[in-house]
Amino acid sequence: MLIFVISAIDFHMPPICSPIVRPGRPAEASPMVSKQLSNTISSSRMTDLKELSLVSGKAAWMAYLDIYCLDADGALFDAALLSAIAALSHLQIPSIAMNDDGKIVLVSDEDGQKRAQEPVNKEKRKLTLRSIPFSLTCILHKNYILADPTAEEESIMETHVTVVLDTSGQLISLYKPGGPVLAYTSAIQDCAALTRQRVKELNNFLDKANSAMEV
Amino acid sequence: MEYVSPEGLRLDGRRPMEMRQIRAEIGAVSKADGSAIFEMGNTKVIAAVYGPREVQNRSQQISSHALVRCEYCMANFSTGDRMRKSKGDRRSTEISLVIRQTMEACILTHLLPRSQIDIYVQVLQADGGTRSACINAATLALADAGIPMRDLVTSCSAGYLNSTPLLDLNYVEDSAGGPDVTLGILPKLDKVTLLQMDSKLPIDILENVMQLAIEGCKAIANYIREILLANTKQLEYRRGV
Repeated sequence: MLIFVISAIDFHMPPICSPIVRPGRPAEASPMVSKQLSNTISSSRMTDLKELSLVSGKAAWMAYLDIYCLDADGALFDAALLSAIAALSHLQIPSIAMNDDGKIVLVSDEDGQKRAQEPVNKEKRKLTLRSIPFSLTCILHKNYILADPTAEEESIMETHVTVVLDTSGQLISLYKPGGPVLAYTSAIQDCAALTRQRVKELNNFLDKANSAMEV
Repeated sequence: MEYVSPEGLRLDGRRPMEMRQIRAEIGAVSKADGSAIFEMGNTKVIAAVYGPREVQNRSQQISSHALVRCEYCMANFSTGDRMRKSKGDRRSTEISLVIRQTMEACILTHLLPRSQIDIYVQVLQADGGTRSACINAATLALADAGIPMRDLVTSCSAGYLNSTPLLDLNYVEDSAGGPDVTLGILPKLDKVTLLQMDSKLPIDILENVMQLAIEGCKAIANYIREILLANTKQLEYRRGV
C-alpha cells in the first residue's frame, strides 16, 4: 500500500486585496476558488502522486499550497491556477533519510561525514509536471465574448465561462456558474479556442520564468 | 552564541550600526486608495489604505474625528515553518493595536469627521523587525492615499547583544532573548510616537540603544521622503503638469 497526500490548497483573500473584502468573514470567492483549484489540479493528473511517496506504506510528503490574492482585479481563478502551477514547478523535494524510529532527518549536501542512514532520495529533486493545465475566464455579454475580464467588468456582466485546457489541448474542466446569458455551444467553443491560444502564451511565459530562476 | 564576531561583524556580515538593505514601492494594490511595499532585508511587507470612507458600523461613527482601523496579518508562508493560524492570535491583535495607535498619533483625524480609514498590513516574508516594517509601509500607504498627516512616522528596532548595541535586528538576533527596542518617531517634529522594549536593560545603555534606533528612523525617513518625491514627480509627468 502506498500513502500519498494531495496538496491542501488554500486560496486566501485578505482585506488588503479589495475594498469589498472586509475583516471578519472570508470573501465568498475564496472557498469557491480553493475548491475549483483543488478539483482542477487533481483531475488534470499533472503530478504523479507516487512522487510524493517516501517509504511505501509508511510515509509520504504533504504539500501545502497557500495562494494569497494581494490585488483582486478580476479572473481570480486564472491567476490562482497560474501561480499554483508556477509554485509546483519551482518546488524542490529535499533529500531526506529515515531512521529506525520512522523519524525523518534532512540530509544536507555539505555533510562530509559518513551518513548513519541511507537517504530515501539521493538528491533534491523537482516534481515532474506533465500536461500542465491553464485556464481562461471569459464573459458572455449579448453577442460578445470578453476574455480575461477586470473586476469592474465582472461586476457589471454576470455570465462567466472558465475553460481549463492542458498543454496537450485536452479539456480539463468547464465552469459556467449560471448567469443571465444562456450560452450556445458555438460560444463555448469560441471560449475554448481563445483558451487554446492563451495556453500557448502562458506556457511560454512559465518556461521563461522557470529558466530565469535557474542558476 | 556569538552574535558579534571579534572583528565587529554580525551573523549576516553587517556592522553593529548598519541597517539592512531597504526598498520601498508605492502603488502596489490598484484597488486601494493608497498602498506600498516595504522591504527591510528579508522582511517584506505590503500595506493598503482604504479611506476615508463611510463608517461601516454606524454605532462606531465619531462626529468629531475619523475612525482609524488596522489589521495586521502574516501570510502562512511568511516564516520558515508554515503557520497554521495567521490571524486572530494574540500577537497579531497586539501588533494591529500598536500600528493603529502609532498611525492615529500622526493622522489629522479631526479633518475627516464621520469617516473611517482602514489600514491593512500583510507580512509576506518575516525575518525580524516586522513591526517596524509594517509602520513604515503604513506611512507610505497613507501618504499615497493623500491622508493628511502631521509628519511621516518611521520606525526602526535596535537591540543589545554581546555587550554591543545593534541596529535593525534580524530574526536570529531578535529571538536571542536580549533586549529589543522598537521605536517610532515623527522625524521633523522630533517626537516619539512608539517605544516598546522587551527584556531588562540598564538605563544608561537604553539611551545608547535608543539613540541608535533614532538614527535608524531618521535614515528611513530620508529614504521614504525620496521615494515619495520620486513618486510625485512621476505623477506630475504622467499628468503633464
